[in-house]
Amino acid sequence: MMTLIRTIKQTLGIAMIMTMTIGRTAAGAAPQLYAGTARADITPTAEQAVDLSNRPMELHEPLFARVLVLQSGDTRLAIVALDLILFSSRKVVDEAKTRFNLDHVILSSSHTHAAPAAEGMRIKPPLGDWTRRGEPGEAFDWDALSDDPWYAATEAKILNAIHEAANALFPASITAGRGPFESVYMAHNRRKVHPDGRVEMMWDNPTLQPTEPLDPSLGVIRIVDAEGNPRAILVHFACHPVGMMASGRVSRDFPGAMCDHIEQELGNEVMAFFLQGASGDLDPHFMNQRGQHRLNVVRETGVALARAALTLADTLPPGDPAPRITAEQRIVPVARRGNRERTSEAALTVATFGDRVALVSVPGEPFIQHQLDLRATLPEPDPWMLGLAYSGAGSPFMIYLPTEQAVAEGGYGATECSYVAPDAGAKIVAAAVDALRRQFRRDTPQ
Amino acid sequence: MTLSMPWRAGWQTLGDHLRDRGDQAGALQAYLNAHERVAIAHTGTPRGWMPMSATLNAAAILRNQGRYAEALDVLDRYDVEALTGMAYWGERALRARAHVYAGQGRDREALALFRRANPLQAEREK
Repeated sequence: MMTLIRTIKQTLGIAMIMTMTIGRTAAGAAPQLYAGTARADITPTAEQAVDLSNRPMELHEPLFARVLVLQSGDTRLAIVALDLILFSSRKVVDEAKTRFNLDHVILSSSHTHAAPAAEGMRIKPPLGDWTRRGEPGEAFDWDALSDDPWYAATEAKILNAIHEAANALFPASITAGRGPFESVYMAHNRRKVHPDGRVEMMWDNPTLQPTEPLDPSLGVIRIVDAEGNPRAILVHFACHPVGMMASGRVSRDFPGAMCDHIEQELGNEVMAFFLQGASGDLDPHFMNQRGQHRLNVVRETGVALARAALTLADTLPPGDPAPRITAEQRIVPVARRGNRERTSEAALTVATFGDRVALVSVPGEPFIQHQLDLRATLPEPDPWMLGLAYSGAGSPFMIYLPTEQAVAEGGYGATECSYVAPDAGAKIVAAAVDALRRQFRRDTPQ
Repeated sequence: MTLSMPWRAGWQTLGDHLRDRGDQAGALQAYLNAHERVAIAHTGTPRGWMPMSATLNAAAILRNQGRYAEALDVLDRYDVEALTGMAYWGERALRARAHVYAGQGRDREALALFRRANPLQAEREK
């Protein structure tokens, strides 16, 4: 029934608000927080390992789906961090909601470019390069991606992992914070705009030339159980994981190394999550390295991020066992470039966890300026803009979401591989700010 | 490596060749030979482009192999502060040391060296 209602509302193209106010006591105190984690191995077989550009890959390391289920009162939501370039499965979101009584599901892909892609989305004839042809939701049947055995198995594994996490809930507390992160390894803005207005794509930056805009910070959420043991560390940072791109190997890239290091440092009971930020125009400094050095650089990139995350985690205040949690999904109609009569729908899931952190999922690749604008407009609770994050409605993937200035300047991601109107990103930020203000104001005790 | 190499730049060239072929161990030995057996043996001093270049290349290989302490030992043959008077070599020496620091997890020190190298690059490119 809910699916039918959602479909009707989406069809009408109305900005929709489905707010879930978490059950609270009469006195206004929020109920105990519960959390659960689970992990699924979603590595393809050697035969299934083919990337988005239709190139076969060797198996280098396993890929995972990591699930965090949070429950407060009668509301549950799941955050799924995926070692994939993109994963927008309506089937997973809809089934998880129905089968496991979840109100919201966010599928957050790390965007590693060394991951497999379903056969139905690979860039090859007759489909061709759908990333350069307007709304991807109209390029092919996204629901039919399940015809690919690896993709279908991945959907099933994710659902099983969500089930496992939802069945293993423990009393938890949550805390979060943001701190500086400047590294030799990342990130730089790959759009170099010359004084004459010409845009040069600077894919790598091995001499660390200064670029802008950047967000030299990272966010950390720490989930602790009732005994005070850390159980989950979520890290928010924005940078394309392209260190292993076109290496011919399946790899989690730097987010995998980050997760490995955190889990090695904190022990097996802890699950680490990488949540990709607004990385649309950000790359790591070192790309196209050779041989063992390439593997070393990718690992060191992740370890540097992990170290900073662990340092920040140590400074966070004690966790809140009863945070006020709010969540809603907003469908934001955005015009298409060159034809404002036609729209696409950006489905955002906006959630707050107490007064310290909020998530804003965006099913595309926002430029970093949008993340900066969101935080500058509403710094508290710290809003994490999640790129490549699908929550079951609207466009499955909006490709790049540049700024109006970037569209005027041109370049990859701005006038290439971007089909939405120049103001689409600003509209998404405005909708997120509005949602957060509504949620936070309503839940702030009077 | 026992190859006789009367041509002074031969070890350097051999190192470049072996590195391009992916023979890191062979390239490292060639670069070390270029520095010690040939350059200094002929000139009696580590000055000149060849020992400097060989040193940086050897350090890069050691760094890429995770042998950070050895890489720093090799780089310590030169006073990086003195080299900053020469934009080209100063820039390369600072970045070489920065890469080793980064591998050691000394991110702040590495970043500081990278940032010191950038003005030298700008000066060189004038």
